[in-house]
Amino acid sequence: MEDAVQTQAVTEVAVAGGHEQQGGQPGLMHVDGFMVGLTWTTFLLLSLVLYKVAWKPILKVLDQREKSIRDALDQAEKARVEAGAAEIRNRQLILAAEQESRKLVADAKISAQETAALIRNQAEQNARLLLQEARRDIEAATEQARIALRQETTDLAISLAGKVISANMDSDRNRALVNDLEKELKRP
Amino acid sequence: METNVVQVVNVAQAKSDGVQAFIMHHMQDSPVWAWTPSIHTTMPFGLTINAVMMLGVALLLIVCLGLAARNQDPVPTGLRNVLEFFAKYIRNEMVIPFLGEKDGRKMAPMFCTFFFFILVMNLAGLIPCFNTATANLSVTAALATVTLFFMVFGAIHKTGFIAFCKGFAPPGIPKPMLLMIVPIEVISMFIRIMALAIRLFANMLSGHLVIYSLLGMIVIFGFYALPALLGALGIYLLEVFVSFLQAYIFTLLSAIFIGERYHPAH
Repeated sequence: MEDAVQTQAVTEVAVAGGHEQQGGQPGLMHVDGFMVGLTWTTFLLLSLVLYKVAWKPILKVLDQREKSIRDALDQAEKARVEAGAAEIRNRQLILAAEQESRKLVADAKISAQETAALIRNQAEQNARLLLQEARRDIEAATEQARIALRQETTDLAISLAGKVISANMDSDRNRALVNDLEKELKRP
Repeated sequence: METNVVQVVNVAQAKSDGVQAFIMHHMQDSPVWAWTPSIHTTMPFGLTINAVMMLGVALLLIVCLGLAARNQDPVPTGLRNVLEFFAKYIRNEMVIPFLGEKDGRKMAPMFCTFFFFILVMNLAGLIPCFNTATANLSVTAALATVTLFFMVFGAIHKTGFIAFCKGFAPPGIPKPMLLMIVPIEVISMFIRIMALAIRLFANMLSGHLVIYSLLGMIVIFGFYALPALLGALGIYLLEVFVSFLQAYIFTLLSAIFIGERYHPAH
């Protein structure tokens, strides 16, 4: 009875797997020459075919993409360096322009100061000349006035002397005449 | 009463043996593909399930990657975008650092094929009714020997036979010590390749073993073992991650090993 049950159980499980137990099967560690040869052949053919249809185009595209990215990075780096150089150049130009403008302003200041000094000197010189001229004119006018006055005085004195002589008057009358002459002289 | 207990234990033992046999059968390569318990297909031309899986994966890769590569949009989208990401990562981060710029660029397609071939074989095994070809030692050993081929013949072609042999003798070692060091270096080269093959094989095999074992508990214990489904689901999700990880590790280690032979001075 027990043997029958055991046999039945083993049979059920074995059939569930699809096979009855097979005797004499090689072990798991057995290396089959046919399988090895088939694996070599399959791998060799697979390598050749995949190289042709898959890896070559894929790796080529990867290389091209890597190259384009590297080129783009190189260009970006080059542009960055050029931009840096341009910035330095611009800064130098701005610095030079600032220095130039400062120099121009300084020169202009010096030139303006020199021009102002020159103008001032010329003005002073002109003023001095004008003043001297005016003084000379005043002196000449004064001299002329003095000469005219002297001439007038002389004329008056002569006129008065003539009147005195011709009128033949006394000393009071003479004094009065002199006083009148003084008043006349004091009148502008 | 005692008879009943013995009977239950015997049935459980029998089911356990059956589950074990089921798991072992499904872990091993076979010429018969069991789609369902009743529908079986025998592979033609003496092929096995793993061989068909491997050929199917190769065909799938050629079709999908070929179609994706035909998309020439300046801004990649969809699968093309994913492919470019992986191809660029594999070439720039996994291959060129170890093989150098020139060799790295030249050999990148082969490593991309390595990665995708292993990855898709790993992931295909997670689809119900399908098998994991990388859980077959013959497949992983064959892939590892491709790496060995480049480590030996690629390096001889690149550096010359003398330089290749000198690569086994680290500089600065006293000559008498070389008698011991050189054989160790030669052996270590082959051990690395064996480890490369077994690492991928064992990782993919173990994940499936755990999933099958957890599901087998339901067969043995019935509804009492239903929580094991959650465990199986968790392991399944972990397997997705492991699929990527193992493809990455195999590709990276291959690049490192080949790079060491191509540039022994480093």
